[in-house]
Amino acid sequence: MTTTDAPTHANDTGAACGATTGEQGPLTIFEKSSPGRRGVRVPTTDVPDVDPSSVLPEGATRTAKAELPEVGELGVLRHYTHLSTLNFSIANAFYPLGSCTMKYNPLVNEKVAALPGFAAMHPMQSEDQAQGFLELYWRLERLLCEVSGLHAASIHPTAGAHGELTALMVMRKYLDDHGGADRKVILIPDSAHGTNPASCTMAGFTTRELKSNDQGGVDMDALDEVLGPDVAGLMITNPSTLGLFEPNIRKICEKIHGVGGLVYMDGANMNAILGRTRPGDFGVDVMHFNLHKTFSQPHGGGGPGAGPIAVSEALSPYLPTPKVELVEGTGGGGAHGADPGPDATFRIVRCAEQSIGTTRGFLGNSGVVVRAYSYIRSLGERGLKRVSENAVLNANYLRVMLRDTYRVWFPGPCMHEFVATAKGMPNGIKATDVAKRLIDYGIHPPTIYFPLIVPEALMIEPTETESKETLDEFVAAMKAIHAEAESDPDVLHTAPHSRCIGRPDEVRAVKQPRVTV
Amino acid sequence: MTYVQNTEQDQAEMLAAVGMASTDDLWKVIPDDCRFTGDLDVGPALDEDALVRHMRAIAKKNVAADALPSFLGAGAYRHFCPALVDNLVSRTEYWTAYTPYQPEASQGTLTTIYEFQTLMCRITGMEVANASVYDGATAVIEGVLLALRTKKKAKRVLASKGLHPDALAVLHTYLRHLDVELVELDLADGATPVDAVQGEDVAAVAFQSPNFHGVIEDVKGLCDATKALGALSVVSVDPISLSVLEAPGAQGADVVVGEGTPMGNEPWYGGPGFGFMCSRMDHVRQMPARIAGETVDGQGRRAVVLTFQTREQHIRRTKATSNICTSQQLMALRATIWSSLLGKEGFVELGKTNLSRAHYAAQRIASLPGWSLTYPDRSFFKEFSVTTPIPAAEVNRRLLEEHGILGGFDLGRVDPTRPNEWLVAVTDVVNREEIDRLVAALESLS
Repeated sequence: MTTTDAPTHANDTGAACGATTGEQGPLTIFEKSSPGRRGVRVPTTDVPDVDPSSVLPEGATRTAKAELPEVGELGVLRHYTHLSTLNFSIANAFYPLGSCTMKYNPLVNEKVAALPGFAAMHPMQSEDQAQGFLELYWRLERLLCEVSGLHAASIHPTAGAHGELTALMVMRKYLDDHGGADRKVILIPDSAHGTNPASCTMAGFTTRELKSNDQGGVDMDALDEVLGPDVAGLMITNPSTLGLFEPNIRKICEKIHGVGGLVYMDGANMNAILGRTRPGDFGVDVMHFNLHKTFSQPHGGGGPGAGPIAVSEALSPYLPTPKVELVEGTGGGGAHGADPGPDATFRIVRCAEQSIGTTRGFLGNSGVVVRAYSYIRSLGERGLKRVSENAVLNANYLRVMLRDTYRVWFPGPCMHEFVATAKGMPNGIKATDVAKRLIDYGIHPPTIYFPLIVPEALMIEPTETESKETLDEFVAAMKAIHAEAESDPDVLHTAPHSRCIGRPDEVRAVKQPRVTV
Repeated sequence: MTYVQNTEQDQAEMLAAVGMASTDDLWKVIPDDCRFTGDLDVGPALDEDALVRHMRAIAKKNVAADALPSFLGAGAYRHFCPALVDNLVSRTEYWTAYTPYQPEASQGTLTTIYEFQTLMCRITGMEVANASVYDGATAVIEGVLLALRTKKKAKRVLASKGLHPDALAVLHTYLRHLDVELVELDLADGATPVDAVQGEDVAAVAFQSPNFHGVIEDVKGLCDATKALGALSVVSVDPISLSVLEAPGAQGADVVVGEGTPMGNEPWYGGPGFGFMCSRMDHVRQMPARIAGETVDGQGRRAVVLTFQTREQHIRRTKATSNICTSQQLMALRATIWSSLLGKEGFVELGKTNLSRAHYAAQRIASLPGWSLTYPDRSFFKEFSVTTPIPAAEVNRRLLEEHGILGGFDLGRVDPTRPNEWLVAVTDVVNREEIDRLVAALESLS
């Protein structure tokens, strides 16, 4: 793609309105239904038929069949194949969605996750039948402790926000047990993810916002003003959502500890610092990971993920149950810290006196555990460091290549991502216009309007797996769009032009709600 | 192994562009006293062949349940899943995309969410569903939290002991932080007594049907009793059972939740699965998680978008309905495709197969001397409790070792006072020949 090559039509990301999309936008499977048409044959009864009403209580038998679609197998294949082509994905587009770490998802991880020994395990099988899985949980926990510099980990939480909530509960219980029951306030920088304050509320805390300084970091004077005996802790994303490493992080941790609080680190941006710095080493007490970001679990269109937490030694008795434990007296002689040795056996601790308890069903998102472990082992020590090195190099390269065209809000060196702004663009062009137009160039837009402290924010995270050529294409597209903002603003105001739909009316979706077909 | 594409030449050019002498300069933004300069103790990198061998060796330490006839359920069930489900969800356009923040670039995922919501509403008889939550256990607490937000002044929650033990445990964990009293309702003859639903200041009554012991609850009676208290009912259901059991929406349920894994997913050692959550339009603004809705674009074409986003954490922050910012989308997609393949008639046929095989198995087992149904006067769908002549743990051990059969769930594991209660799940993936093998094996044990 060149800068003069402005696209107006469907591109090879599969945007064309296919025969099954029509002039009305995408059709649903319910509109492909024909009475009496059958898909697959289900297992039929090989035992005497039981009439439901003969064995169910009065009034408990279903009276009207659920109106599921009636479609043939080929019809289902075509429908969902077609719908898939209406998506942007890593496989067909650069996806610089800030803070989401949309990196390549290695296929070998899918292969190993599908091994029957993993995929066909039932969560209620006894511990002696599941030793492989328990070992895998233990191994991944050790790896997470190693990269975070913390003492113990739990892979129980299901998502990043679930990890936040679980970790806040751990903090609550620790404080309650250590004379801090009156501490109710969590300090949160104004650049934080929205999940942070929402998780605090669910864990029974209140929050106090911490202003950023003009460098995008924590304002140390503002911090001093809000510190007090009611402070339970600080929840900080580091590197921040601005892509900046907090320069005073050690001092901040000391101050929080000084008033008896705990430091929670949102590890959403761990990709930037793998092998370069460790939260436990600079004073963090507890953090969460997003296995679907840093450790390449595929995002699945919005899940599944996993949000393990790692904690200091003092907090480790409070980790949730169930948790995996090495059976005392077994193991040893492993080749590295995450190798339990040939004779190790494991058990599940289902109840522990100081634990916060259970925060989901069963042990955890085991399929995600397999992929994340496999990913780390494929990379090894040097490979993990290459991740952070190239994530940060790619981001800085984009920052410098774009900064003459788009103002970078905090202009200094960044980590894995940076925030530019569309503020001041010609002809009233907004971040959303730039984003929509990028779609026509076959590129997934950056995260927009976040973090909230930057107006018209364009939050750009290329990840380490993108090539220089792809980054150059992105730069060319962004510059072309900026030129269009001057010369042909209407094409931006009305973008995208290459998809099966144009900009949807989101207000109507709320005012005239239609949430089922 | 590396997945990085930059060559040394690329790196050199990029460093020159940013004005850095070497990659070491990238780390100047990290204060010296925070730098980690050692080697991570994570083991050597494994090439693809070595990695697969290593993973295979770990997997071999598990006893894979797919090759054995399995009667194990207790909240995680295997059901028939057509080959096309695996094929379609393996399209990278689905599994490597993210949350559909940009609707024009995500009509595929958004349309499938809209379909998913529709089919969950049709199965449960409700009006609105979200795009899914973490799992069945967290779906129950999310339903209860919805009720607490709706009944702001009420500070008590009633929860049946027939809920899955994990769901009950999660209720305890969450509610402890919210100044809410959780009252557990004892079962009588395996079911939640309708007259136990009483008390003041109650926001929610949560129960499960069929319950953890497989017993079908009096859904209508419990919902009516809940309504009489001015509280909201949170009913956890097995979606497969709604092929033959009346839709909770038709029985007065306010919130219907459950574990969705039986629909087109496998137990996968506990996850990833998905939880579903349905309610009535009155409560849509109190629903957590994503909701897709239909609208039009500038040319009047149908478009699907994420809607009611002012409920959500990225806008409402501390006042959000929930901290949930994602769903279990790929698993919900599996359920959507699965439902489309089974269709209206196939779904009912599958349900009848479960009902018939489970009743055949129950009858055969209960006819063995010394073996009986724990709740002979109660109704069940695909799972039932058996009172065993020898401890259930012993039954399971001998079934596996001597007969290569994965037995039911030993209820003694969650309640030490019930060592001789054995929860047997019989779904459509267990056929008559395997049921007969189980019965013959049990006969030889006692």
